[in-house]
Amino acid sequence: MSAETPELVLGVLAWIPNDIAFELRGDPDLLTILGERADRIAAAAR
Amino acid sequence: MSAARVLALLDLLQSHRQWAGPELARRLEVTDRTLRRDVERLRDLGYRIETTRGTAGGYRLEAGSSVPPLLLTDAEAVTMAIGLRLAAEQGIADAEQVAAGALAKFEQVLPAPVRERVAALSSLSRPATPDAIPVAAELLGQLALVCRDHERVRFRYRSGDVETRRVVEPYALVAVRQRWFLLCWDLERGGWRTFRVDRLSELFATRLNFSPRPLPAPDPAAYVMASVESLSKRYRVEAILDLPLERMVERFGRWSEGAVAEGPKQRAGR
Repeated sequence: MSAETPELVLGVLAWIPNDIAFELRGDPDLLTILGERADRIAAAAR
Repeated sequence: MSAARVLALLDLLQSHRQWAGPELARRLEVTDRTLRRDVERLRDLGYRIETTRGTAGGYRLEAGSSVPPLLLTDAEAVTMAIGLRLAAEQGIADAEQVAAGALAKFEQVLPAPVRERVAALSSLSRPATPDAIPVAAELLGQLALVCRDHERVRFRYRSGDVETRRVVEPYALVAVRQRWFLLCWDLERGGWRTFRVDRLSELFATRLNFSPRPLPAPDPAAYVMASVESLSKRYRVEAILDLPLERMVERFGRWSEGAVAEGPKQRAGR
């Protein structure tokens, strides 16, 4: 899938059900950004 | 007094906001004195036509204190305006531009009390699809007007967390994927830009007209569509989900476009 911003990509990925295994492929820089954003959210939620 | 000539004058005044007196007289093939009489006749019929002075003096059709006598009752005007707004807002295929053009003409003469009723009733409606982002029809109407009249505008534009002030020459309103875009020449950045109308606020029409530049492409709609498409494809990932394809499509809607089943696993997106 493609989107205008990394935030939109992250928002869509957030809809993947918790009990479903998945893997991501794509531009390493984008995957890094997504990982960092997800880490920040996880940290803030703890 | 020729009724046909007065209607021709009204048609000209509705087709463009500002007219120089001599230009109107030339088009109608009448003298200045006859033109003034015809303008008075329209005023008598309820049309509010302002006279502007100076070197760029002329005539301008303004919103009146009552609906001009063609014509429509207030209830009919309200119904018509709501219909146009809904058509413009809700992404009816191929009808948005037509609806916006008609809306511009209509908003130009809609008296304030009727406009308020239209706004109140229109606010009860909602976009037909989850992807559609509501845009105030009045804003669309104003933008359609300034595009038509080649009038410079200022506005605030929000992109992510950043808000900027823009001064532009507006050229076209284009609907792509149920979102409205404004194609314009950005005066401070010296280039063509496409702005999402739902991110635009504090629109101010400067009343300064500009001479149109050659467009970046023969078809503004195709140009905007291409730039939106290239932007939307900027960030791309492949997600491989252990999920039946139909469940994935059901859950992700348009985001699963291009998804294919892949052996025991399913591939979402590309």
